[in-house]
Amino acid sequence: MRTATQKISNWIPLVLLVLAGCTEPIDLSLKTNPKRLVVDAIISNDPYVQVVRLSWSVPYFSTTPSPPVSGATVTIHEEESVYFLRESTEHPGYYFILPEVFLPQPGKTYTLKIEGVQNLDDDVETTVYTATTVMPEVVRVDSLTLRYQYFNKDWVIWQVLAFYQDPPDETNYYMFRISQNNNRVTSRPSDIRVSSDKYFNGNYVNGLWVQSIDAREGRRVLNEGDLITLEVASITKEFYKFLEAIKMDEQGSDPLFSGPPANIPGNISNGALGFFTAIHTSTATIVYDPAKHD
Amino acid sequence: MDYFLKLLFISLIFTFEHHFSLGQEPVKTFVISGFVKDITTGEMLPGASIQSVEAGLGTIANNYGFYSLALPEGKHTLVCGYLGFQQYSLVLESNKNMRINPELTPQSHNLSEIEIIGLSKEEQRRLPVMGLEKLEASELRKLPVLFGETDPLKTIQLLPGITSTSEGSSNISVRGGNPDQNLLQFDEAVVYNGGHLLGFFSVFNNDAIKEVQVYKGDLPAWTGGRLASLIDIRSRDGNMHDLSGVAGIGIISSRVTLEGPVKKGSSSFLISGRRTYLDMFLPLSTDRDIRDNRLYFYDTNLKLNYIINENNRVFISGYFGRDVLKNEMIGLGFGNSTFTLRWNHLFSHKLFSNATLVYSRYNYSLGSTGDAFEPINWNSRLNDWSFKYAFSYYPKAGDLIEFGIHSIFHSIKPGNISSSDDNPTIKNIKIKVANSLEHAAYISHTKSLNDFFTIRYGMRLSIFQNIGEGRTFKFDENFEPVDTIDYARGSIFNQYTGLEPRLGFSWLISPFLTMKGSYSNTRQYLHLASNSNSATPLDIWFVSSPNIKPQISNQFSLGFSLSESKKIWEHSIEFYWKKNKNAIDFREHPDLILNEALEGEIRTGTATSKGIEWLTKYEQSNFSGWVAYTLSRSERQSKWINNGEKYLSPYDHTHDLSIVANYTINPRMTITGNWVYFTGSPVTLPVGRFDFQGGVIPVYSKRNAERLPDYHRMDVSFTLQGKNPPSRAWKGEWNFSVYNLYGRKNAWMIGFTSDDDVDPYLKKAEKTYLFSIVPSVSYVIRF
Repeated sequence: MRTATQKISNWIPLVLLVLAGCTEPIDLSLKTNPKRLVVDAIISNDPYVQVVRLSWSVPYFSTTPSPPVSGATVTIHEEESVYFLRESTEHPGYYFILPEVFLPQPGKTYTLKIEGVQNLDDDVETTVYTATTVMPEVVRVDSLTLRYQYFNKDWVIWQVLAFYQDPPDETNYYMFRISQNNNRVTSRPSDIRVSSDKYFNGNYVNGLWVQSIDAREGRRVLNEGDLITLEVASITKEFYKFLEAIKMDEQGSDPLFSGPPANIPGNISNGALGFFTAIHTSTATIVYDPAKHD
Repeated sequence: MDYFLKLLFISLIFTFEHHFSLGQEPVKTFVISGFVKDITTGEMLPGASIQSVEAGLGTIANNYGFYSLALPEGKHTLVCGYLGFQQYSLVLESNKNMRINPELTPQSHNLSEIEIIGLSKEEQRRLPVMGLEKLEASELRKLPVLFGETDPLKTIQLLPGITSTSEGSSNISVRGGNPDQNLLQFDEAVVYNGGHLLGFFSVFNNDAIKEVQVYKGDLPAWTGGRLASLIDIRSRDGNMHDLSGVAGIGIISSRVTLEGPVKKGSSSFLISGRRTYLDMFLPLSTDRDIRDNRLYFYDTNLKLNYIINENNRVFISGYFGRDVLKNEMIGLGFGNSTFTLRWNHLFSHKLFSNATLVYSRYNYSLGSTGDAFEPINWNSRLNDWSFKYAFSYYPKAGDLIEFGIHSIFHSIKPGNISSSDDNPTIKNIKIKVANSLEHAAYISHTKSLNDFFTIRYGMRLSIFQNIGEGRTFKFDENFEPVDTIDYARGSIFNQYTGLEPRLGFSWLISPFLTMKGSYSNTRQYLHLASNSNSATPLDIWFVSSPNIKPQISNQFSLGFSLSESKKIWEHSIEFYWKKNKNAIDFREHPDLILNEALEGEIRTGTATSKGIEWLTKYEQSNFSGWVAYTLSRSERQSKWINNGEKYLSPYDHTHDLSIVANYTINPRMTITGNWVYFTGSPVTLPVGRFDFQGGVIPVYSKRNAERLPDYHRMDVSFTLQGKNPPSRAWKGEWNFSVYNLYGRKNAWMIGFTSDDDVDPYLKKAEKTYLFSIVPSVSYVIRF
């Protein structure tokens, strides 16, 4: 199981310490592949705007954000209905639609279509990029709690523990994110936690450790009275695998525990990178109280 | 091609049998047979050569020190030689079948070794087996090693065609093959995980070892089941005459070996133990995170051997080793245990037999405690029971027929997981046990056609059976399981049968030039689910099944060796070409752990490997060494990996060079050094990146399309014998060694870092290296 291998991976520093392993910077010149369209599109039942971001891939050592892809025609198809997304004028490359107009429903199939992509030479591509997803069914989270945990001096956290009933008759995939006073603090893929119900299918999830909040000295980010929101999102198997692959990649490729790194499997057609998916979220909140949670 | 080869093989048997059984003159011959022994310890000497000077006929003692030589009637001077021993000779009259047990005296430093080497090598030249490397424990001991821990699996990496899978690892790749394609045997028991402490040390305690033989793919018919190599490690028998022992203290571990007679001259024992004590220093650490850890390994060897009478001998050997990694949160234990019972029986002067019963186990368990996460227990094991009955028949001099049978019962429990919580979230998971049987029957004939030409031809029939109770899955074209099939207990629900021809020849072109060639076909039914390069303890072995065909290898080799009259120099060159079918690899980002439908993660393809291996040995009384150079290329191809394009084996090293030198300054001082160089291992590096949800995600090159920087390293060691007055009952010996003498920072991995909170786009490349200069010292006492 992943957590177990992660636990074992925690031995690596110790073993390396024993074996006097060290790191040092090296100069490395990397090759660069031709640029590709990147799609970053998560639609959800949240009553906020739905956003699709289009950009270009860049050289690995590039230090700037990816250049946006402007002026494309972006549509989402729900059965017979077609919804047009409008590009933001302030944020080029971000295409959006308001929840009053479009709010995805569980069980329905959604197709994203991207046409008329202008490449950096100002030529308009004839390629149509598409991706399809199904909105997962809802799973309601009952509650959460926080627990202070000291593992070692570099790893001191509040564990975020979730309580909910896992549906028995299906395989479920979850993504866990947290917000502090309604600001999402775990939006990057590296901060997102995912799980399948492989190890607890049909069980009552009785305080599963699903997220962490940094509690190191000098980095204590929680203040008394902060509102902590746990978002448990049902996600598709494909998106789960995508996020899992990102997590595997981030752990690095050491010869002890990992195989060769590999490209993250996206779901966009015609060689575009990234992902289009629908998620179904459910939230629970708690107020941080040092007397109870430390 | 397979069919063609089999036909060719069968026709060969008939041709040779026919051709060479005709026209023989009826000369009266008698059989001289026996066991070659070390006179001081009674230890058998496998590989010793026995020759009749007058008849020019000779043979080599087998793995149990037994030889059988049919000699024509008349007077013979029998000469017996073995490296490091004085030559033994005896004049005898061949007029009846005789039992002669030559007892050889170990050589002191002043004597020249050259004559003996010459005799021994002459017989080795005739052996129509290729890619065979042999190292003795005494040779292994001299070489410098990491932390001073003598390690046979690291030393063989200095030989051509054998490389470590990553720096400092005892896990090896032979000719670009995966580590699971090596049959690692200790006293004929398969050792499923050869590594301690994440593979940085091997499980073999050198003090208990007699010799290590590596067959690089040209497997004789008596062995099989793996594609790349047989690493045959045999333990010492124990001193038959006197109680003796060795104790060593090193910086990582201490070890003790005790051996002696149970009944003088007929039975002996050897017991050996080793434990690391690194963790004993951890509590001294001021860092509480280090202090609370436990990290150690130990292993024990036991050997008993009993000569019942001149026709029967019994050996019992056992190994038990364990690694423990533990702190207050989590504990991990893993290890091998093996038990071997062997019975040598001589049916006649010409027919030697050995029956072997083996039990071998590898298991690991992982458990967590404390309140940080739900306590789990996870355990997995692999058990093997096997029976082997092997016969060697010596019809006449230069003629050897080997045949036998072998059956193994494999029982693999891939993994169980359970929670000990009162109110568990985690449910119990039990991946079904997979049981299977692997059988083989073989026959092989080695025959000297004349004084110059020896051939070996053999056939191994292997049968593999999956036995219920078991479960298999049906997969669709996307490798998603669509159906589950359960089989009743005891039923054989799948079977593979294969004929594996093995051929070889040796041709003594001139007194100094030898040519050898071979072909071997091997099948592998048991595979390791691992896509990393090192020996992690969490091994998952799986067997061939209706979904997973056996891996099949075809290897051709051709080689020449050249020596000169004094036999000080010896050069050999070997070309090989190998192709594997149904080679196993895994999909990208595989889910290998506790996955019931593991087979859905496998993507098969082909693997090819070709290379030139060059070895030059120099051997004189006070200076010896070798240079080994390999030029090779190992590629793989699968239609589901790397867009169906060829990619390099992770163990491909274009150039691989090892230089080993050993100089005896005087009888008390020896200095040994080695230098290794090889092309950096293939790696996959990013060729771009993209943004997703505020994170930076790399885009990778084709698989293994780039390389780590080239690797090189020098090690030296210095051995100093104590003054050791003859009156003293024990002898002391210091060993000082330095690993990586000039502190080369060889890249073990390349990683990329950035501080996500500051600027996720600012990525830096950094390399991790494991060892800079590592000095070590050890002291050994022999008594």
